[in-house]
Amino acid sequence: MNRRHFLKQSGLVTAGTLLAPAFLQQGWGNNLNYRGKKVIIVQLSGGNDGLNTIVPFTNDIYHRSRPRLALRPDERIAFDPDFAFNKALKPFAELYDRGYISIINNVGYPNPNRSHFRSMDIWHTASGSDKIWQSGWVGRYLDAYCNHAYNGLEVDATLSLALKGHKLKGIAMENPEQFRKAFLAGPVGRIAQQTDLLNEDNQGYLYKILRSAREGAEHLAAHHSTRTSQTDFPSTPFGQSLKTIAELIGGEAETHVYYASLSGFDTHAQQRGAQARLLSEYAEGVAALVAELEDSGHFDDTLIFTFSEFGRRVAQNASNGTDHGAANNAFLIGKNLKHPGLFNEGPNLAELNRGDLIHTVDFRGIYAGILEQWLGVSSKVILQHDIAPLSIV
Amino acid sequence: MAPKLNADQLLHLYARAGFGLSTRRLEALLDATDALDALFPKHVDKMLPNWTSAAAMLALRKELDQTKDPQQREPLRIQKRANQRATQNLWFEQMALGEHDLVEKMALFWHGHFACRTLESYDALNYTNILRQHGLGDFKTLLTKISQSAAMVEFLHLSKNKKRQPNEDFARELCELFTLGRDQGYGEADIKEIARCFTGWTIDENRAFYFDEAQHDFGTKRFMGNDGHYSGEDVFTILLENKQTANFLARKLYVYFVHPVPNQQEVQALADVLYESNYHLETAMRFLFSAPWFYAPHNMGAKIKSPLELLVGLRKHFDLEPLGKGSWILLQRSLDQSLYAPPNVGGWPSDRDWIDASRLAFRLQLPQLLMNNAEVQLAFREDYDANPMESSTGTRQARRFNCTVDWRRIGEFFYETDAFGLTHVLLQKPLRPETEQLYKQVPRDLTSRILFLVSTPEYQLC
Repeated sequence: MNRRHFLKQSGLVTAGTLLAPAFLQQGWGNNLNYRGKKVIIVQLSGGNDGLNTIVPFTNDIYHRSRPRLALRPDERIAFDPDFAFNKALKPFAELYDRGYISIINNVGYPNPNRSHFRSMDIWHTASGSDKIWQSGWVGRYLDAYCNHAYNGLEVDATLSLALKGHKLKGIAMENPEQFRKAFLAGPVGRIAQQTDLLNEDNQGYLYKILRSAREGAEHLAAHHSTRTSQTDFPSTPFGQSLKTIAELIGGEAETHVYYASLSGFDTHAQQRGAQARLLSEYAEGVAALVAELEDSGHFDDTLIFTFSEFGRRVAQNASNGTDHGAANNAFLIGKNLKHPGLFNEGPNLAELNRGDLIHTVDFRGIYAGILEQWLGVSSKVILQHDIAPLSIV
Repeated sequence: MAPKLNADQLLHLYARAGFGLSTRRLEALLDATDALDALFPKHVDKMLPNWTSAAAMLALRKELDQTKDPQQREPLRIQKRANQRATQNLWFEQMALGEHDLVEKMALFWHGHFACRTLESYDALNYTNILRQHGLGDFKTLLTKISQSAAMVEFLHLSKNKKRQPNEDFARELCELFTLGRDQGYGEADIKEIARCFTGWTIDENRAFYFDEAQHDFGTKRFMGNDGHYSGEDVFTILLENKQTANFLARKLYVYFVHPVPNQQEVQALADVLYESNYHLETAMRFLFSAPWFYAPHNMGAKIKSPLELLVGLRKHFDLEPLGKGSWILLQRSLDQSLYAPPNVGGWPSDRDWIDASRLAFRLQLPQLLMNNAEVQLAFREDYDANPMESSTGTRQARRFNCTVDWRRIGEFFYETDAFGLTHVLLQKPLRPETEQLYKQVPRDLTSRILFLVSTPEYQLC
């Protein structure tokens, strides 16, 4: 067990922003380089099996390790002499053919953790594997460069750690109109209308947060372009969250970073059908999202990043599934990617760590690339880590 | 002999040492000779299951261990899960309805300090009873019993700590989290040596602590300037002799019971009392609750209620008994604080960490939705670590909790008097002027007024 350090939130922010550490004052509340770019983060929760997503079908080890789980030729779509998509990703394959996708292989971090909770936290906070942090990387971006909670939006009912900063925490809302109706109804709604100056204690803090909830709901409802779209999004919660994101972007909402997630990827048993269904939902969702963004003229300014908290073991298990692994692939979807196609070399199935793939790309390099090249801000302070950004756009 | 406390002070005391007061109870306490003394009982009864016995839970565990056939295991596993949920509900009820407020509040505090996740009802029951029965006693006894409890032994892999292959998890958390705090004059080498002192600590087939001599490293250990053939108990003694442990505990107690931003001098005073009483918790807590600074106005209503403080308060004061057995568990998950399931060894976040825009909006709506028996939109994350098969649809559902709310009975506990109004008793901080104006426009019947007050941000404070 490695040493772990607690960076407790209360230790960093005391009463009054004057005492906030110097690093948070950099570009305090203002991203001077911001050019209206959007980031959409799509999280696949549960640990998606990367090897049956981007299939190294010419690799013997793949077939030997997965006698019943390896995808057959009729279950995959080759896009490269050595790699194929899981057939369920057909709409995604079409985006790939148009040059809209970078597949980044072997993404992970040193000393991988195979607990869902821990590994997801590590991805959300961008801490090392040996540290426990209480703030998220997007939250720290909000702290340093934004003024409103709604500049970070998770289209879900609960807010992930990724969007929790020290000063600002993003908004979690599945649907702004529904949020307004459910949560700002009755006495709470009336209380939320207050505009008076607030003090710095917890009473003031709660009113401040309530006010930001109201402002967020109002801003997002006002910029929710629900013009009848031509595109068919999956009717699932995930599909609808992508639809809402497309509509908010179309309506020119001032959100910089959007977050959505699709769950169910923890396929310990009977993986084939379960994963195919989820990948299909994912692919249809992002294909609809891209189509809608192109239609509204916003695809140029939008970057979509997809990841999962870990990959799965190379060998299948006895229940026709796979167990928790480590390194995995991740995807970038956008119009002007620097390296569309296969970003780097595929997984090395010959040299494993306890049966798991070894990472060659630290995910924080991807975050750094998104922050620096897409959002135009310095990554080192937000990630609290000096890492070379991956050259992504 | 503690000073006589006025209404404000009693309300503040019980908001922190307990889960709040009703008007009726406040009046009774004002008449009592020593309201503080009532918080420290001479004897604490064990919390016992009422649907089965502890012995039956243990027997089930053993049977599950011995049954290999998946088909035979399934009904046992269902029973096991039912036991765990029932135990979680049992503790929640105990907190809300237990006779001794501070005993239950301290147990909750210690649950965050000795953070531990368990899905074993027998272990969970024992863990809770240790916290309740020793939470105000001798800290070394509490530390020892918790460290030897099956729940903690499993959680921190103590049974894997063997002579030839010491496991450092427990040693590390013992120093970082339970006693000294992080980076207080010890390093990796010290942790390794301390781990050796605890080799052989394990549990037997009855889930009781067992010292396996064959696995114990009896050699000399050197750590933090100490040199000797130390056992685990010796380590506890050494760690407590270090004043830093008193400093660390005092700071945590202060942040939990007094104010989220600690006052150095006051923390030091508490640490001194704790250390000089040889870590006698009742002595320290009596000191804390008698200190003039505890009752300083800026401490009143200064804390944001943790989810459990909020939920327990609702259960306690409004007698909410949802029809569905899993209801309080669902609500705990929706607010990110579930008994027996802290997110990690560090326990739970605190204060402002509980709050973001959506969570706050949910918390503000929740009390009146429950009391109106309206639909509550639940939402929480799947916990795949606990249950890989957890379905996503269960994690977002609209639910009516079917609480039968007896307003007439509530009116026997909450009412206006000449001395204090509803706001005085229900809220630990006066309403902001604009909110006060809105309150004045609410119809004057008890139901309307209470429903308004429990919807205010002030109700979220304690």
